[in-house]
Amino acid sequence: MNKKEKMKLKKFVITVIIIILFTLFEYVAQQNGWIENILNETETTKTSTNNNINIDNIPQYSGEIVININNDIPYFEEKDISTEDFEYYSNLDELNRAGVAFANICKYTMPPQGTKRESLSYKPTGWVQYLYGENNSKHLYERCHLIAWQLGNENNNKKNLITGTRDMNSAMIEYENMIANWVKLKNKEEKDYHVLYRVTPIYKDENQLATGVEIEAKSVEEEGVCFNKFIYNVQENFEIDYHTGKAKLIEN
Amino acid sequence: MELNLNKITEKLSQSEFIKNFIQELSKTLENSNNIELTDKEELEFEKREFDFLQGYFEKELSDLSKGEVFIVTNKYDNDELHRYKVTQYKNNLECKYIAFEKDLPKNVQLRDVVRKVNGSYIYDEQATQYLKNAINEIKQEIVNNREK
Repeated sequence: MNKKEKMKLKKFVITVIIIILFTLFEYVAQQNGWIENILNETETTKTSTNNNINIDNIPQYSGEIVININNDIPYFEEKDISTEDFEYYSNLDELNRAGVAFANICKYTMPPQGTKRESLSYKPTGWVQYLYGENNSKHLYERCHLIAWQLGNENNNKKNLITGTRDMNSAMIEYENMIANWVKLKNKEEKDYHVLYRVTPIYKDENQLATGVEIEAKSVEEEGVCFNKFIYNVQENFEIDYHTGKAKLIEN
Repeated sequence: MELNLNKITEKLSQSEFIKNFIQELSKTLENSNNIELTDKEELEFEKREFDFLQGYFEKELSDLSKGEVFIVTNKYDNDELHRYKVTQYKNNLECKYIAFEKDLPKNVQLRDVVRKVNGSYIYDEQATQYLKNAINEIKQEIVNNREK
């Protein structure tokens, strides 16, 4: 074998080794979900500026607990627009998880002013409470009403409750208040106006804990409230196993 | 002095106090017979109850000649507007609507079956009893399975 042939053989062997190494890396990366994460991270970067996200394609959480869906326009159809007072709650699924809740909120669905809500004891799926802080004074999870009690007066209804982090619940309350305030404002003007409101918990596969909730709202009689948001079921400094609801506090 | 037991019994049964006492006693006895379910059993019960009610409503809502059927499920507390919620179970949904006391039968109770005719609700005693028995049977079945 002359020098030229030796060089050729060397090049060939190196190429084969590189190909084998690359194939091996790709296999390992796929097994560990690295590639998926890289792709998701790329998409996540887009989410902060891009509002045209479809609910079937929620990006991975990237630090913003609330993102706009469908350019903030709810997916209600013409047939949904109504002035009838109603609340629809989905039957629990085979894993006992609550599903879509849909209501037409008005002064008649809301509880009388001054009513105190009774405390709850039902543990929705994924309820593995995590207490922390001084004397365990802080908690990770809260029982989140899909249709807020202040809007639908529906308290201890298993079909209306999911396990949510404190941060998710707080974010939801902000939008619920928006609806309640608008209805009350119109009520002061002696207008019995409605807001269509739909909350959809999104679960991945057989997870016990929802990844988050989509909340959609639209005032019926006149322009006022209109949004379509996704709120992530996350909590700062926590790593959550969505399959079980178990969580781990990440030390700073 | 002659003791007329029949007269005493009759007088007692007419007494408002005795009537209330018997009513309260019956309630207490009924509650003491109520079976406590575990959280897991409670979930199973609610799901089976939902399936049963959905079947019932499917049948009843296919013929509206006797009026649209609902179950009275909620009452608003301390409410100046005297509101209730009446419910139907269909399309895998629990569908709740607001109803006012003035439109509901007098002395309406939660779990009563009512039929909406011309904007007002009429009490359906037979249906109420039928559903009560059927739902109790579901509960009893769950308890019986526990004891096996």
